[in-house]
Amino acid sequence: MPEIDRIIHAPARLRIMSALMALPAKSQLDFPTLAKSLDLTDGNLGAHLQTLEEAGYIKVEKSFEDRKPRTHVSLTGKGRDRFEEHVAALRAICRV
Amino acid sequence: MDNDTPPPVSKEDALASLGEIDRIMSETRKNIAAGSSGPIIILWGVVWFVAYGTTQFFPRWSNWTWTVADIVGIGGSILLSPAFRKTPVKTASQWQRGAAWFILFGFALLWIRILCPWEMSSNRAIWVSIVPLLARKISAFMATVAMFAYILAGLWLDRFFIWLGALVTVATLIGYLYIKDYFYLWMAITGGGSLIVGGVFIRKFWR
Repeated sequence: MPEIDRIIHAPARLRIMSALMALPAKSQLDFPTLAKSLDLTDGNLGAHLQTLEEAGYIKVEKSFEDRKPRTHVSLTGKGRDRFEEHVAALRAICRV
Repeated sequence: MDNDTPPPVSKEDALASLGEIDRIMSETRKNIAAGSSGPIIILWGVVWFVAYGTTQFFPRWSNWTWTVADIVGIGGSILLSPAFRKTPVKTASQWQRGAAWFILFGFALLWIRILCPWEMSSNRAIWVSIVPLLARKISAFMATVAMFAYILAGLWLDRFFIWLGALVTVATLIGYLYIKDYFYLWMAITGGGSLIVGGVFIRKFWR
């Protein structure tokens, strides 16, 4: 029986995970695009990303492009599995 | 409630969460597509408009026109693709989209070569001027192959691509069957025009 994941279930984190799930496998989305498309402040997004990273659901990579720092976020295999399980749990609740 | 206990979720909350997941995934895909697909579709709209228009009024130039048009279209698409531009998404599989187009058009060109006499399929100026029916058939075939790819892309990306592909396919068939003498002008306006309008729509409303 799939279970609701309490880390993913928080509204902002559910939206972050959904946005990352929309990408092709092994893809990374940059931080400003994620913040803009989810309408989250940098600080708010950063805090939620830290929670997801500590859970091992996402990977955050920092690099320099044209001497400017850039941050890219991607889902891990564990994060993808947990998200799919979370969605399955939501669907199971809807069927009850 | 301890940290390992799953939170209680009502049926209404679950439905709302599933709706939010669908909405965010769809918006993210559109947002990403607006950055790369929009400009490429506009480019091909302009290429079709100019090349089909030139073929209508200057059929003897069609060989050069389409050679230049294809170079501009393919080269421009490569330069506008995420592989050559700074885009919000970095993916290890960007080459797959280019490879899919290459395979599809390679397949179409292979069968044109097999089904048409070599001198006709290798010199468009000859067949546009001398064998107009065959020229129209091949032009309509290639246009619908491109739109077939749009419809397939729409299954993954957004229904908008299905509608755009279907619209241009229907316009192509109408032009081929009923507007024979002005087929290339028809394709310039309806085919090229639809692609330009579609690309501008993506750029404007999907961001």
